[in-house]
Amino acid sequence: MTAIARAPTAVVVPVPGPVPRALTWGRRNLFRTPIDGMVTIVATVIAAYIGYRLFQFVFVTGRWDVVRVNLSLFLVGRFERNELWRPVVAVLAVAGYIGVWTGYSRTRTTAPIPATGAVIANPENPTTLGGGAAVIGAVAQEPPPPSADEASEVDDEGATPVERAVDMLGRLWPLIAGVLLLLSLATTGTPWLVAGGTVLAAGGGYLLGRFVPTRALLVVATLGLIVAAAYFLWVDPFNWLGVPSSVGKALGVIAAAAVAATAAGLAFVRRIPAALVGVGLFGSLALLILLTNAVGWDDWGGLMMNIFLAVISIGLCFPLGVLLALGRRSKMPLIRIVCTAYIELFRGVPLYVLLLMAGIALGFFVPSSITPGLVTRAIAVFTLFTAAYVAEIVRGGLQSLPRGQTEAAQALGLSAVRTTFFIVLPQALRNVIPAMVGQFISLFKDTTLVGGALGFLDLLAGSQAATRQGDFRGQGLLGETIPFVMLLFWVGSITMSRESQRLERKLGVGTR
Amino acid sequence: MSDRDQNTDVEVFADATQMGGSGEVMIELSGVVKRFGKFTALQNINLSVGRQEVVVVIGPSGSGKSTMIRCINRLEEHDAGRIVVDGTELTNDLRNITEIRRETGMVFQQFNLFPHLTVMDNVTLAPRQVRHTPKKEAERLGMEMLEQVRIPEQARKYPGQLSGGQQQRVAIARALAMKPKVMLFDEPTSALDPEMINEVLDTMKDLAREGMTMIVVTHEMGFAKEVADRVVFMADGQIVEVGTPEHFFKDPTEDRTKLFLSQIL
Repeated sequence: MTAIARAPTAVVVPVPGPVPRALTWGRRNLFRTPIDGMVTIVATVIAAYIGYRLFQFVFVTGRWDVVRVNLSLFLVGRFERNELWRPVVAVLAVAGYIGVWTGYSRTRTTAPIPATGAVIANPENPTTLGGGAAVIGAVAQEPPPPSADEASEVDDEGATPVERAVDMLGRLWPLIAGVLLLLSLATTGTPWLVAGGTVLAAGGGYLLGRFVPTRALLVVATLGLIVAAAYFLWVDPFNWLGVPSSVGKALGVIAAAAVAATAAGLAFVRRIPAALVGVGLFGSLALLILLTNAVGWDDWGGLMMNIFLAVISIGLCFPLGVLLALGRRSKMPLIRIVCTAYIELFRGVPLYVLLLMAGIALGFFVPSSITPGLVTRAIAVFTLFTAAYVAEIVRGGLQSLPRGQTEAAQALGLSAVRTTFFIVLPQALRNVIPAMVGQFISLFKDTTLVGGALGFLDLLAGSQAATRQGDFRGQGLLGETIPFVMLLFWVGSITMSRESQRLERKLGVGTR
Repeated sequence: MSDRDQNTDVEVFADATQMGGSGEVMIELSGVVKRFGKFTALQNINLSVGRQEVVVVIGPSGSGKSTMIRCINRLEEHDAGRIVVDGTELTNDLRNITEIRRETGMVFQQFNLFPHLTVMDNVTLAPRQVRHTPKKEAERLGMEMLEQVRIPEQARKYPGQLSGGQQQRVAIARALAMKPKVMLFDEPTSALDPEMINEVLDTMKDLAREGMTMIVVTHEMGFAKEVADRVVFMADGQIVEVGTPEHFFKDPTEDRTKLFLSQIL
């Protein structure tokens, strides 16, 4: 669009090149009055000095060896190196899954609107000119021209692959830059293989979702479910949680039966999105077992642990928070009181103290034979804590909905449950995306508390440990490792924030 | 006050029971009372509406018109009296409430379309979720309804992309998609720009012509004169006068009605 707009001006107006324009701009915005000029000069000097020192630190004085040598400690902590293929498989699977979804949703958005006879054909209002017959005539003669709106939509979606790649770069550059930085620090080829494999998996998934026809995709989805089911049967899925082997296997068989039944059912009704969601749910369960059944999760560490804690806790606290928000607005007093009490209790306690409580004080109240592992406890604390905040955010969203929405749904005969799930929640949740993602980012950053509170070797703790061991001991290298940690967290947070803005814009379509 | 009101009640009751339409009772309100705290919004409302009858309710704001029709599908709970819709009495029994809401379509002043759903999804949501109509069948039905309100070409848009008049017609289509026996209109044109009022009124006239039982709360006197079988005038939570449009606009009995008509005509 902008390119088209610019081209003619460049042709028609010959004189103003870029340099005079920049000068005019500078004069107008930076040196309008003497004071403006002074401020500009002083600020430039300060900025230049800071930039110089930063450059010096990053490229000259900084001793980044500590990061390079300990990179694996930073990323995965003391995770058993022989088992590292498990998280790698998980990452590849998730990338491929996201790719399939993306590709699939692209086919959906660009698919032509199924024309029901004459109806869609006429962009004009058929009430004028006694339309019906004329419209049908027009259809019989020639294919209808797309209406203005349809055309613009096609324009939006029909960007060339290059444009889309550029768009993606602009969107994800912090993440891409972060990954490239990590790769540049790598001393072995494995990280390159993993990164390349992830990109390939995502791309392959995308192509699969985009170009493989619906029914074939369904076959793939069903196969995925069957693989997941087989995995349930093959391993003893819950032994790491302390569940006896026989019970674990029984649960595995039940899960497998559920998977098979669901797959058959979905194949029968040809519900692709549902099939994909099913694959996602069972797949993530299978991945979780894959990740933990040999190593447990108490030996996790590094950035991997921070991400893992954040992802699991976000996944768990979101539904819990929504339920709490609904409960706090319930008409039944008992439910309302319980939910309100829960929310106010957890919002009133510092997270760090809760983690300490879970790690240390829990042992005083509960016999050690039945206490779950420390990581499980950490996940529980993060989930319970964040759910209280999520509940309040969601409640705000619920209250922002006009009453007419529920009234309209009731007047149509929708039950209270259906009204909540089809009308109220979709709108309420969309309205609170910014606050909600803010809370999730906060949770992601708060996972650094586990090092201090529970003694895990997460990214932050690892970065501190690195300066205390081997050749790097006593050299004051925290000045290098801590900024590195900050950078990695910033990359994660900014990516979440930008993606949420995109989601917001996407869901805002049509409600302008 | 009391003396004249007593008379009015008796008279009105007599009047109101003479239904139009096919002669069968579709909606019956007897002795309906609704209070909001200490304020009595409806006192002793008696009204019978016949099958295929069009009743237009007029009156000053705050007179209880909206509250009355909102009681009929239980958006407000009445405190006393009986409300019977097509043989089903409105009680606290959830099954009865659902039954009545299914048979009763409602159109609101503010449209209340679901902004996160397309026009087609707005129209098909209730048939699919409440009547469990399969998707294809529901969309065919939905398209039929949108054709009836003359905006089938907007099916894939979102409500926010339509004009007020179009939105209100979608709202009518959404209510019709449940194949209701009764349609309730709560000031359907009051939130519209003047140039869009007629498209909505025309749709409602079509509906009346097809024999839909309708209760319409409105300030559109032209519509009342043209379409109504009976006009109900309400003030201060009571039905003051009921009559045919001819009687009502040419020769009203009650002073309160005369005053109101002189103010608006």
